[in-house]
Amino acid sequence: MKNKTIYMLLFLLSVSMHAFSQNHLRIKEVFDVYGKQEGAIFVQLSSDVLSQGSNITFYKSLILDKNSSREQTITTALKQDLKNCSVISEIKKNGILESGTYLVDKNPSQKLNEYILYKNRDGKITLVYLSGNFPPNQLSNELKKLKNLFIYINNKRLKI
Amino acid sequence: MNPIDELLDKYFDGETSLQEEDVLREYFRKETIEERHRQYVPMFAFFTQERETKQPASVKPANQKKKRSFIAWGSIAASILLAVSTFLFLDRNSNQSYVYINGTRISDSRQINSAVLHSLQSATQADHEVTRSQIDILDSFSE
Repeated sequence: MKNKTIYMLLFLLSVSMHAFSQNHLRIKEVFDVYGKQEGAIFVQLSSDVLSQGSNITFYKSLILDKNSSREQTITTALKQDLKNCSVISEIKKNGILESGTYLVDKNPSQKLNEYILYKNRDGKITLVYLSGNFPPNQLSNELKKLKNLFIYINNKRLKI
Repeated sequence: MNPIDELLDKYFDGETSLQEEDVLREYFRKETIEERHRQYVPMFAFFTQERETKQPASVKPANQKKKRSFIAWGSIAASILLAVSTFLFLDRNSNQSYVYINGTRISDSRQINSAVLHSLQSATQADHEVTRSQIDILDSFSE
């Protein structure tokens, strides 16, 4: 009985872990809090859109008009998450992070890589979370492919 | 004095041990008992029967165990149901595509799929701002 209970708990834990993947990141709260606010452009693309022609399986972007409160909240969340990330590229000006691309550390059982992209420039804060089954050296290529997808949507005047 | 008589005396004085009472019960179960003892047969038969019907002491815990087991498995089943529901709810949300501008949802995620993207049907309400902004983001990060 004891063993069965333990197996059940482990099962529940694994289900929960799967269900809450991505939720382990603090920036998830940023999307939740600011995504639907005035002055925000929030885009979420899932496999229904991305499945054809992209190895990106999930894409979330948030563009916000910058203000000190938002900036502080976002950078605090980002700093927390970056403790468990590897830096792919980073630009700092006067010691302040201006933009960066990061790979979230994963456990061996995890198949997908998770990436965080951040930019704070020209009065706008941009935060992107995406995941996909490709290594960091292919990220740039995947982003270009995704860009082409958006160009296609734009040119065709398709409704998102 | 007959040993059974001695035991009976002790029994009625309430001084018999459990083993001695067993001896008496065994004796009164037999068909060949002395005539003078026959008057006690119904009494011992009754006590023996009572004793056997009270035995479910072992049955009761079994029922309780069954009940406890049912509650435990019920709790586990409920937990699984909750976890699966949560998973399905979250999974459904995370499997949607949508766009919000200034807090207003401007699309239905169900309309966004590869079929739409690859079809030549143009929609009338293309959101240039959104797609342009995404191109800019991807441009800046993929440089």
